[in-house]
Amino acid sequence: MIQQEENAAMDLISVIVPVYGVEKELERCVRSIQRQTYAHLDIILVDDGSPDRCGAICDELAEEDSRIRVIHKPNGGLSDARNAGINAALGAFIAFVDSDDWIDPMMLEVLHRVCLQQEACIAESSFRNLYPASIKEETHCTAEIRTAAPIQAIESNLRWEWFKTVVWNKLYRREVIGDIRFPKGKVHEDEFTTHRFYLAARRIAYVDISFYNYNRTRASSITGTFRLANLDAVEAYHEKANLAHRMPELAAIQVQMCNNYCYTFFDKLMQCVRTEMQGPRLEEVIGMFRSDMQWMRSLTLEPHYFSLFDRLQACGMADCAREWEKLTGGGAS
Amino acid sequence: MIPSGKNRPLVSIVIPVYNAEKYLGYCLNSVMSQTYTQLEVILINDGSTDGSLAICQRYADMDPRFRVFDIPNGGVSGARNLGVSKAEGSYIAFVDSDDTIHPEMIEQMVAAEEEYHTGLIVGNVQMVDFSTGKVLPTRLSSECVGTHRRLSAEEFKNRRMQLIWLTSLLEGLYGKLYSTDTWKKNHVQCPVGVSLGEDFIANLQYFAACQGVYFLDQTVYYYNNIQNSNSLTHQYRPDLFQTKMMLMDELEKHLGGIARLSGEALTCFYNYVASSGLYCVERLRQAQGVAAEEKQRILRLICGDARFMEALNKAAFIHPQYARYVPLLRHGRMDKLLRLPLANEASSQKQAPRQDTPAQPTPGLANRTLRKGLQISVRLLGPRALSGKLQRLEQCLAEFGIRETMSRYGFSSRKRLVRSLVARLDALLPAMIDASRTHAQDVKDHIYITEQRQNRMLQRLLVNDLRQKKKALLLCTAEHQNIGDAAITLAEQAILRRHFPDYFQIEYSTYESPEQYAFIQSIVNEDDIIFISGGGNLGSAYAEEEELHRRVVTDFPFNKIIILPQTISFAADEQGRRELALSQKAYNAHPDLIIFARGQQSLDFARAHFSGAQSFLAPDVVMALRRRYALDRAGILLCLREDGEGVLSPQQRQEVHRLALRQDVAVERSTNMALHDVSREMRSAVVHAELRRFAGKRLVITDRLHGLIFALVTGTPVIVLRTANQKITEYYDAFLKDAEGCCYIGADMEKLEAAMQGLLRPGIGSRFDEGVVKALIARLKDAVCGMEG
Repeated sequence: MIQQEENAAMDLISVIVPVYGVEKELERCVRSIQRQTYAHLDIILVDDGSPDRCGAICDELAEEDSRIRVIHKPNGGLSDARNAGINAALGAFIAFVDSDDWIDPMMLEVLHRVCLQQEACIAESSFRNLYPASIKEETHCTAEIRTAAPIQAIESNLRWEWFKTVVWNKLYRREVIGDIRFPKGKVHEDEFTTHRFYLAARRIAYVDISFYNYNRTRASSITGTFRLANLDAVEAYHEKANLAHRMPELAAIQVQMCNNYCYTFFDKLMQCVRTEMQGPRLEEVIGMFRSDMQWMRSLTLEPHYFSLFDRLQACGMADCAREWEKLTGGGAS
Repeated sequence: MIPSGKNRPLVSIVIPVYNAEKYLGYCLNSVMSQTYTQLEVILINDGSTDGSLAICQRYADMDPRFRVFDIPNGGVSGARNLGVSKAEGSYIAFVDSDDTIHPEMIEQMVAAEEEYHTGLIVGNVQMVDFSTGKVLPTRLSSECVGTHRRLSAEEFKNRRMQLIWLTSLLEGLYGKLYSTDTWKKNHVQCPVGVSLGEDFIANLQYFAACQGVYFLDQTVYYYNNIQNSNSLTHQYRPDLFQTKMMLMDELEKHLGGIARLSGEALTCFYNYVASSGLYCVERLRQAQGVAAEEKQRILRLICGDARFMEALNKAAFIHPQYARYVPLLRHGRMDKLLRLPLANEASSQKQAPRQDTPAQPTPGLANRTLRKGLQISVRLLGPRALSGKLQRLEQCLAEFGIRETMSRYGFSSRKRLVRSLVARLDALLPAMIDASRTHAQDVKDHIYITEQRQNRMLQRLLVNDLRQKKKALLLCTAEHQNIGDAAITLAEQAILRRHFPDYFQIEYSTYESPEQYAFIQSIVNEDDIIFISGGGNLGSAYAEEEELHRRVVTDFPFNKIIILPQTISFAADEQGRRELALSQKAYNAHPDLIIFARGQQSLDFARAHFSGAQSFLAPDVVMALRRRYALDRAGILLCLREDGEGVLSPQQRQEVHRLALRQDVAVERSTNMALHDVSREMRSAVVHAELRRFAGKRLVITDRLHGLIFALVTGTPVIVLRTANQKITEYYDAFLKDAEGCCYIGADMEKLEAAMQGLLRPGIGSRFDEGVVKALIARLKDAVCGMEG
């Protein structure tokens, strides 16, 4: 338990760090959390059965800072580790930091303040992408504040503007997370969950300052080479499109959601063809899309998605993928 | 447990803001994210007309450490002065509103100040083009100050000019930590109304007051240097040159007048003035939408500035990009100056941080070689001959055209002669008048006429022509007294001519002027191959030559560079280590450098210390210089060192002489040194005369490497004695163990008599395995063709 009298009146923030195979980067990450100007923290390191020295490092770090707790568990993947963290979290607020990234000192202080000031349930910030030889800010960092209702935030996700689908640039009120958990074993886990967090929130705030250092140098991240598991993104959109189809509140963004669904589907299909990947998972995803197409036909989507689908039905994957490459200039990924 | 205690000293960060909305967010974000949290951030919005103020205020809303002052536009100096007056921190750092700082900048600088108490911490500045994210080449302070990073007030005072010229870090206010007390107590002010260099002036005031300086070996600041932009600093300003020169006045004042500067500092001052002025010329050339007449008017102004022109004459370093402007400025050729093609956009730059300074200026070298070159010319030719030669040259040009003339006379040699003489004719005239009063004016006229004529032709024909040609440049060749070195150059030229016939050859000797070097730089293209002449001068013993080697390697990063067979030796003392460190830096930085080592030790050394280069074992190139002389052999030649490298005492040399006389009545001595410097015109004649001397002997006894090699290439039997260093022994072990007619006796004088008797038997000649030479040539071809492929 955290016992800091001076902080009694302040909200406790739980910071969940899933840890796996990052013995070189882990300390940098944890130190950046310890050095937050907002000090009333409950730092939860979830050692997800890491094969290297991570477990021991976690214990050493916990030794020197009473705010740090360590959960050792058998390996279950990123989502499972975050879920374990959520289950153990004591804070009124929750934030996630991936263990090969790190955060700037003011992040939690500012996001917490924005949450209170704007009466928001989720506050998120901009971030910077760290490539091996360069740094790219995601936005212009003008310190502007935006607030949005859930549907606007979801729409903003679709346009990749202001509000972002990523998990780790946000401070969540605990109630928003409720019993929502990350899908175990899926990649693109944020695509499955972020819209659900938004829908559980009354109001979401965004502040255009970047606090989160997103380390894009690691080859293991999902941004690397294409794998069949990347088809999970299609499944996430399948869920979201069906949700938009069912929920009247989301009617306004249904078309846009379905357009994104189609885009993601054809893009991943093309990558499967390009990398010659096959298997029951691909068949399953195609079947899923085919059945969704039955009701999506009635929407006014981008017309070429329909013709592409017809070509898929008539001529098969390879032909459809070629056509898609032609349409997108071959450079989409 | 919780770091960054509230008990740390407060640091004030002053940021003047003017119309910077595009990058301001990044700037403030980087300040907000400092790991050192005891900050007050003072934002002075200097009457921005864009969204800058709103961004400042939003940051201030978000972070109570930020304070915004909104004032009517009055210039950056006033904004900074106001910022300082509001500062309550113990230290001040300035940040410009379109730059960003490293997250640990303040933490590191405060730690350094608390350790060294200099009142001034200077960090490294990285140039970045924020519009593309491209990191631009930047020099680090460590290249200039080395490991001696903390300077006392006294040292800082004495080295101020050198540091200003070398580091390019002392001009701006950014990337530094100042003591608020020192700043305020000494009433340091950014001069209001000065729109350029105002930060430099404030710095000069502050430097005079602080307790020294500490150079932090850490990049703390990212300077947003947007290339190819219309930003304020790139706009045309008619008064740029005057403003710059006023800044130079200010600098001179702060240095206490140039009369008080040491030689080195003075050279740096001239370099600095010349470089600043030439930068204005370049900016003027690049300015768009300015009438040619206006540009010419300003250029005339520049040419008429006595101080700038003086600096141009006395500067030891002119950036290669600007070198071609210098003669045009001297001769007032404004039209031509404006017509020259514009240099690459990428090399244009913002005013303050220069990226064009050399790693090491070479004042001594430049002046010495020039002087020497002129002396040689006068001594060898005499004024009358000089004039006659120039006449013949003109005739030749008229008759055979430019190409033939070049190959007949050796182009660069003529040019060197003519250019050097014109440039320094006044200094030379008294000597000429002494020699021949009647011809002095005559000479001057002739030279001038030729220069004019050549200028036109060379500019039009040669430079363009040469730039496009495939060239083999043989640099750092010898023109001094050592015949061995002359033979090396001769052999290298022969190899290049014979094995790379489609490469046009150009030579640059260590005696030639910096103008000539700049000329060579101006004609090099990336397909050219650069050969650095071989010998025994790679190392600390001949520091000036080594400096030239480094300079060549540094100045031609895009060319293949081949260092022809060299003996490498750096002394183990302080100077040797310093030289080695510099050379390592230069050589290892070059992407395509090949070093041929003249022995195993040299090879091992090269592989250990110059690992960035490829290194191979190779014999001395003179071994390739085969000549058959059908001479009757008579007598014995003693070719023995009388300098520090020899191990024989004068008595021992007499003993050798006495023993030789027992075997043969005719014993001759040679030191392998010519009486005069061997200029390139004399080279072939001198070397072949020496070779003939060797070829006519029955036996050579030597402790000189080239004595040995001359004997071998002329087929003369030879007895080898060792020297104080390993040079000849190493060479013998590497290449000559199996040679016939070659007997190594080390320092063992008792073996000498028997060795002489053995080698003086009739029918004995010397012969060595020519495979090693063939291997060298094959390797050279490989390197060159490898490049073409």
